[in-house]
Amino acid sequence: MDVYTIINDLLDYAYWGALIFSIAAIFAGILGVALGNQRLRKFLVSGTLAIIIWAAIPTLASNLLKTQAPGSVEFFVIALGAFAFIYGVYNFAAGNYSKAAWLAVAGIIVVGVFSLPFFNTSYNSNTSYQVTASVNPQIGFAPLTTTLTINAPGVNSATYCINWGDGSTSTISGGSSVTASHTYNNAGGYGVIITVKSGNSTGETFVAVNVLSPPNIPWPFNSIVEGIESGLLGIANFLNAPFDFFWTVPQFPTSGQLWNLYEIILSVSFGAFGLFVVLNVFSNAVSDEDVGAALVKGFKEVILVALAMLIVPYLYNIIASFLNQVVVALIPFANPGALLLGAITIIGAGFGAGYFVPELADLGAALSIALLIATALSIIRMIVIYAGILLSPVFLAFSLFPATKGISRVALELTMGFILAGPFSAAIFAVLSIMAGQWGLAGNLGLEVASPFLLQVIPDLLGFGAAKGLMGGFGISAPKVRQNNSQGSSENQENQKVTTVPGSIGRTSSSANTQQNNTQQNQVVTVPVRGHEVKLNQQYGSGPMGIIRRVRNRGTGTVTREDIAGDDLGRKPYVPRGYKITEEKDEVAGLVHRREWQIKETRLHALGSGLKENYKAAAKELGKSLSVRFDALMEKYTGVKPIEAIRREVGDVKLRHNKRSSSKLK
Amino acid sequence: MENLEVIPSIIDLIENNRLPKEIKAPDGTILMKPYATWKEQDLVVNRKKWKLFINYTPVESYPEKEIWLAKVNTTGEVIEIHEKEVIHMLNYIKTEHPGATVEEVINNTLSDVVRETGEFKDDNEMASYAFLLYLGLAYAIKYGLLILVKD
Repeated sequence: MDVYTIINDLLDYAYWGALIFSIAAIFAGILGVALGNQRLRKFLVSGTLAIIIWAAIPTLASNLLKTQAPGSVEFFVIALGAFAFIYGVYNFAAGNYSKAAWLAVAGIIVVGVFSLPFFNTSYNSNTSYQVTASVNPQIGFAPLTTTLTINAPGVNSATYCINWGDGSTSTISGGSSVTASHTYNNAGGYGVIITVKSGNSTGETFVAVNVLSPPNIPWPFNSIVEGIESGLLGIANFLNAPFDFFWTVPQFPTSGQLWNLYEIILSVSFGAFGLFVVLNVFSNAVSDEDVGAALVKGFKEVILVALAMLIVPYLYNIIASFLNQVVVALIPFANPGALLLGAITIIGAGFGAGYFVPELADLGAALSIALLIATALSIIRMIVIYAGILLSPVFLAFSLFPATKGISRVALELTMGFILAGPFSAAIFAVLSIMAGQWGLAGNLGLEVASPFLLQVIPDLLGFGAAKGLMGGFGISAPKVRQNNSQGSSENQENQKVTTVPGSIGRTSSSANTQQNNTQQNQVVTVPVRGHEVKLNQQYGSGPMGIIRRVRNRGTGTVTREDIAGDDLGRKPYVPRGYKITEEKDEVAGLVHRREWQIKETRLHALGSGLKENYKAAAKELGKSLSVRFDALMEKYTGVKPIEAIRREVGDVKLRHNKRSSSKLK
Repeated sequence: MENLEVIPSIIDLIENNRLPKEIKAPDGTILMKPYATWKEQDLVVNRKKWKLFINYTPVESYPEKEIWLAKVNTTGEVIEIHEKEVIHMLNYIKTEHPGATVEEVINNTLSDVVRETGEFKDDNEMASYAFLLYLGLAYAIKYGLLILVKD
């Protein structure tokens, strides 16, 4: 065993180990969301990003780093590096030395790596070719004969080495486009690796073939079934094409009708923008504020917005081409058409055999709705992306006005979310496709059922999470929870809950008799006018618990009403929000009629409350950990003057301070 | 006519070197000595013992301009606040935990800061931000928006 084999084996182990860790991180993240654990929750995003990077590594490594990316991507990366370097210098000037050092080093590395081909002649002489390949059919029953078409633009004469993935190899010579055929006799997923060599220059690509076991059905039915399934497999190959809608990040045209429309919107927005500038100057001139400072602050925004208005479509196209590189790197692993065909087959079977097997009809119906939603979402995705770019000048102008700032933020998050959903979708496909190959028929069936969600719904949600994260404030951070407004003793405060009674006429509410201990807390809300009494026994306790346990231990209670003649008992009782009546019972003692309703918390309310409680608990946990950290700091920093530290850190502190949201004084 | 006092942006005070030598509560208790060491900051040293209660009624809020007006209940004085962290802390004490200790208010606000803006890059940044919050709290006590109870 030579050293290269050992290194390759180690890399293989590291590669698959990384997948296991990434999947484990996603599961930990999901667990974190369910349990409200702040630390675990963060794993959801990092795990998903890790899977994308994992799936994209082979092609990105061979394509992007060999400078095979389009010129715009290279330009974008170099610009990013240069920006990091300049921002580093700025931070150096502002006194944030550690940040400056990191940024400068990052900038130098990025610019250095991507500039290498320009300065290093030996590197430059080894040109890399951009090679693409496709197989037809990509999926079919064994024995499967498939035709491979390879395109290597710019190659006059080259040797094409094809590793078919089943142990056989072929070497052919040709120009920029060649074809080759191969027959796979055994079922399985095969990776075809194509290497192009022409002098010192090389290029490489990868394409997947999925060979299925033939169905074991006796003659003559086998030929009928095989005929039908061959037809279906043909459809599966055909269905691969429209999947572009799910993952492609579309390029925005810079000419034609859409561009003309963009230019009209841009000019109108510039009008509104001009109005803002004039009003801004005017308001600053008449305000008591320091005019110079206010003008500088105002103009900083104005310049940024003006610049953004002019470059949005171009900048978007650069980002789109970069994201599409990632998508293209992932797609060879995936065979979405087969998954979608499976889903369509189940729906068809549900329609056909649903009368005899009702479960199949239910499954088919549910799946058809899911597919419709996924398809609709994919179309909406495209529309929103185009609309987002088209209307970007309007939203940018909106961002200048405090009243419409929120709209522009939502629009930006929505568009960014749908843009980022593309690579997420492709990454999920890549992982699924590999897994489907390992799990056989049962795995495939499960994936088919889940495919509409995996295709679009989950990628969209991940996209929105990532977009919100990029916009500041982590996408899945805990929301603020409003608690009651009363001033009471601090010890009991955290367990106290307030039941809201609607303020209808003739009823007043008061919260009284709040008993609590570690396992149980009761509340009594009295409505005195009608002798109405509501008792809530929240047996789930005060502390946080798992969502499932919280839903299982839903709150119960009783609503009672007494009436002398019993005439008023027929009136609908007051039921607290989130509760429903489960039982009703009457008692008569002399002249007093008493009716009691048993009430129970709804599952939905318990779920919502559980999530809220867990978020709150996560925030408290974070507060506690910060407290421990601060205590340790105070022991260490006793002789340190905080004013000196804050002056050194003022740049970062101010940045963080400015990022914080402003709210109303309550 | 009511008096109008202003709590300025703490960051601006630091940047422009305009922090006073001492910040005192209305009863004369020294709360913070901005230019002294951490161990000389009484509000920090007693953070686990001292409790806070609100003593204001909101008048107007202009969050987009970062201006808030509140009336001190005991004096009728109107305070103009220019520091959003002070608002976060006042809201916490009023709506979530009247009688919270200084430590609890600061930790809760720091936890909000982390959730909104990400982890602190190091201990120095965290301590600096905490100092900013302590100063804000000291100003709120100084102007009577908060009542400090020493146990």
